[in-house]
Amino acid sequence: MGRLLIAPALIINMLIMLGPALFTVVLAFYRWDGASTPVFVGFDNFVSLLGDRAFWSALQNNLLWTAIFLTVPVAIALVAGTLLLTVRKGTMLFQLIFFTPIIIATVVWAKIWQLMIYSPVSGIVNLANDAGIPLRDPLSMPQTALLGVAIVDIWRWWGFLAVIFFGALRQVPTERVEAARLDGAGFFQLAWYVLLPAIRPTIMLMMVLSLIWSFLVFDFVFILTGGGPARSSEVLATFAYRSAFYQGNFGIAAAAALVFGVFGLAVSVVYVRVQLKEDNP
Amino acid sequence: MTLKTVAFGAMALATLALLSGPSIAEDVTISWWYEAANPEQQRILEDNVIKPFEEANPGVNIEVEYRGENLDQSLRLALLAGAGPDIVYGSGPSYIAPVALAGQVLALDDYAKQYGWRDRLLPVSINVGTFNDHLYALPASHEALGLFYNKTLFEKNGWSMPKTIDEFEAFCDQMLKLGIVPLATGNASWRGANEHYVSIILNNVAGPDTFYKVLTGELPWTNPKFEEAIVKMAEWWDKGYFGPNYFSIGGEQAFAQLATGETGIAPNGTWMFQFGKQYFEPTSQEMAFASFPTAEGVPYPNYPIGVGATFSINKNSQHPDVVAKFLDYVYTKEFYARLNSVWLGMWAVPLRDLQGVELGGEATPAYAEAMKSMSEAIANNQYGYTTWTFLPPATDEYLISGIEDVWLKKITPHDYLAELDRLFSEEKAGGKVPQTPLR
Amino acid sequence: MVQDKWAVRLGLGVLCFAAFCSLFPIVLLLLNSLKSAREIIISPLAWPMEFRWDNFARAWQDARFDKAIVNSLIIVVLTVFAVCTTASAAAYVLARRLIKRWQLATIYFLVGTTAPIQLFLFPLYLAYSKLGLINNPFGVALIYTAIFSPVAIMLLRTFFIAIPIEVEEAAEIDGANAWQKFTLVALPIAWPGVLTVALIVAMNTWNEFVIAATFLQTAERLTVIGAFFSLSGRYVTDWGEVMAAALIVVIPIVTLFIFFQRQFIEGMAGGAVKG
Repeated sequence: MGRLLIAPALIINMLIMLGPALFTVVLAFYRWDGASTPVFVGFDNFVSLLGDRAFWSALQNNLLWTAIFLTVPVAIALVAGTLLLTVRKGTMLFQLIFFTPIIIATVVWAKIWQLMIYSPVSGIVNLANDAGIPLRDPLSMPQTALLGVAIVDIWRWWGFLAVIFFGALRQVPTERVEAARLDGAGFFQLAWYVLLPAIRPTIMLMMVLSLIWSFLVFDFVFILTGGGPARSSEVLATFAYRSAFYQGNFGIAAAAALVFGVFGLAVSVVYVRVQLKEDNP
Repeated sequence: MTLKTVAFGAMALATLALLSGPSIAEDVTISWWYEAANPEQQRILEDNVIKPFEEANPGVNIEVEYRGENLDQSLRLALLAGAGPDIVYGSGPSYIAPVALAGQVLALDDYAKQYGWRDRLLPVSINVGTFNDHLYALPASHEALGLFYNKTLFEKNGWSMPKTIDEFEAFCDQMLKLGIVPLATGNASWRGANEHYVSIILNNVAGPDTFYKVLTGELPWTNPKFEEAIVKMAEWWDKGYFGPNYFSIGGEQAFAQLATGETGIAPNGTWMFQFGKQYFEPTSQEMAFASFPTAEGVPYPNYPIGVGATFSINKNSQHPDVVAKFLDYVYTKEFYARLNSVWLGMWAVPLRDLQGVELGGEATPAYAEAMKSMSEAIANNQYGYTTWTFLPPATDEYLISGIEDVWLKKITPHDYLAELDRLFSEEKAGGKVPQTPLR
Repeated sequence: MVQDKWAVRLGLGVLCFAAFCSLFPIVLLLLNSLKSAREIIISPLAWPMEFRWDNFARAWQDARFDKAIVNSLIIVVLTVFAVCTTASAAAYVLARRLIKRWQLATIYFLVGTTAPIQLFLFPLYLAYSKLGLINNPFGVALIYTAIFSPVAIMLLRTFFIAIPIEVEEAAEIDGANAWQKFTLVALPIAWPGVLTVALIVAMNTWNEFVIAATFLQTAERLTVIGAFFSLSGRYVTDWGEVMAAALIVVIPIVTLFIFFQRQFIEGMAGGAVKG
């Protein structure tokens, strides 16, 4: 009976995810445009990637993105989560507000930021320019494009983390807090020496999740800049998508997908281990 | 079987045959994915492009979907899956190259023969849709790069249109002294605007003959004339001809500044005529168009010509014959006259013979003049090569992004051209270069 | 927790600033969906001079939201149904360790919660093309079911684990088999979890972008996300209309969120932490 119950979920999942994923591994060793016959090329695709400036630039952007996401939103969320402890009434309202960005579609936020904030014609940037402040659309300049995209994603993500951290912080045993207070700890010392260490497992877990999800970044880059200008905001996911669907080079796309898939998988293994340990201490 | 039965049967069959007629008479719907069009343009498309064809071919229904900026991507995605519209309206020859080579659109050679397109269209235009000796795409409109200028402003200041590069530089320097940004340019809304200027410089400074030799592989991209041209382009940037806001204003905005006299001249393409009324009417100034100045040794006028859109037939279309008939209907003098009187710049179908075509309605004298000049120049071989029409995709893409690196001093003109040479050779070997027409 | 009034005030100030940052784009969305494009250029932050309700009418028509909403709803209903049934069954199996390789299966689904779409997207697209499943809402619902199940399974698993085994053992004594234990005992107790999963899956399906934009191509089949994305690429300068369209896309989910806040927050936050 157990096998029967779990079968549908397993079958669907293997059909859509595992099967095609295995095919991607195979595809990485072929040259194929999706229409004519595939040609086996061995490691050529990988060699080609290694020599492709655009690929390295995308990989670099992913690493940069991950570094940003491991730190900035986590830090903001910790501060916010800790500060929420000081609020007596209205924490629910704050939580709701902080949580809202994550439930709304990426495409909607991307368009709002692109058109209402960043745009030098219709956005806040325009308003600033009219007032004499020389702001520019970060998405239009190669040096700042990735940063511009990151700001939007950070903005969307940190609230979610804050709510999680707040939830964890609330569970810190009050005795510890009282003890520290009796020792004369001020708020900041309290936070730094007692609260944060107490929720270390949660922080670690959220950092691992941020790490994993940062490698998956696609929507915002795709919609806001398409990887441009001049591939300056390209990430591996958009690189692979473009190679497959706009350049008709499925072999390269598969190879690129494998590269960041491997990264993600390695981190996933860590994540899985941590989770399983929690289940079976 | 008696004679009567046979007679009846024959009559029945004959009646049936008569009734069914050519397949056109059946109810047929063909789909067309178009790019962006504001409501007025959509109306024009509906009334002037679609309705006349539907009326002439009862039972045929054309359904247009406006895909906007995502047209290219959505087309590629759909064609890959064997789906997509019947009428494939692509963004130009270099876009259609991989699609054609992958066999996702039909070869049009038979239709061309049937309808006599090779005689009706300009040979240059037929060539750009030809890959591996087969015709896959017909240009929907051809366009020319030149110089728009504010005629009223020129007359007021007693300026004359520069015709040589030296005159051009003197003119721009004068503009700078007067505190006017010489060139109305900007790429914030469309990064590809970069290649408008690169096209102009390579054709009018280095010369179309040089460009031709590069396209056929006789000369490398790093030849001295090209290098001279790109160096000059970097010089113009340094001198400030392109203005301080190049990266933050869009093409239309820059054009609007032409109408108000804030900028001197706008190097751009004839498709901009569609915005003429919108920007110049409110300021009551007159817009004019001329060839961009040429360097020594390059005949004046010289127009880099391009094809901004192409028609192809989806390989999986259920009604290719109907689409072919539609294409045939497009390449007629009546269509040309009708469309170019209501929607300027986008529908200059490349007909060989424009005798007797009278433009009315929205067409300004400047427009009619420009179109005529363009046709004549093409007939006299005084045309150049726009990069988005005659170059393969990856080369074109790098051309757009690399020039910014040259401007911003990240790479030298020589390295820029060397990379272009590398990409071009690679793609040429892969058959991705549209057939270069003979000069 | 904190005595120092000064610190409390500062803390509150910071929080209010953070809340302002979170809300600012929403405010822009609301205000500008009622303005004309020209007014947006002039005063993006101000209260609308005149209320352009026609932005919404035009957005509705131009994006063909009537069709898009139906498309989205169909896919949402299919996906939610498929996930809730298959995932709860699978979760129960894993919670009660009903198969020999339960640990392997758990790891498999756990890894599945973080798999990048690009790892399987390309062969999937090609396979769907060959099978003629492009532009097919059932096909898309199938993909969503596969993608959203792992998280659902993990979430429901914790719900099932939380049910005391004695309850099921009692039922077993009364002669219940595994199927009956699952459907008649465990599921009814775990229904809040199923509700949470249904809500989260509905939200993710409604909001999803990559699959919707890649597998649904003709105007007839676009989801609200696809319709919105397409509209924003076409009516590039009619910002009022684009914002109105965005609001149309957003309202259903926000409404759900307001009514089911607890489920959303606990489900998503808890799910992330508990795994």
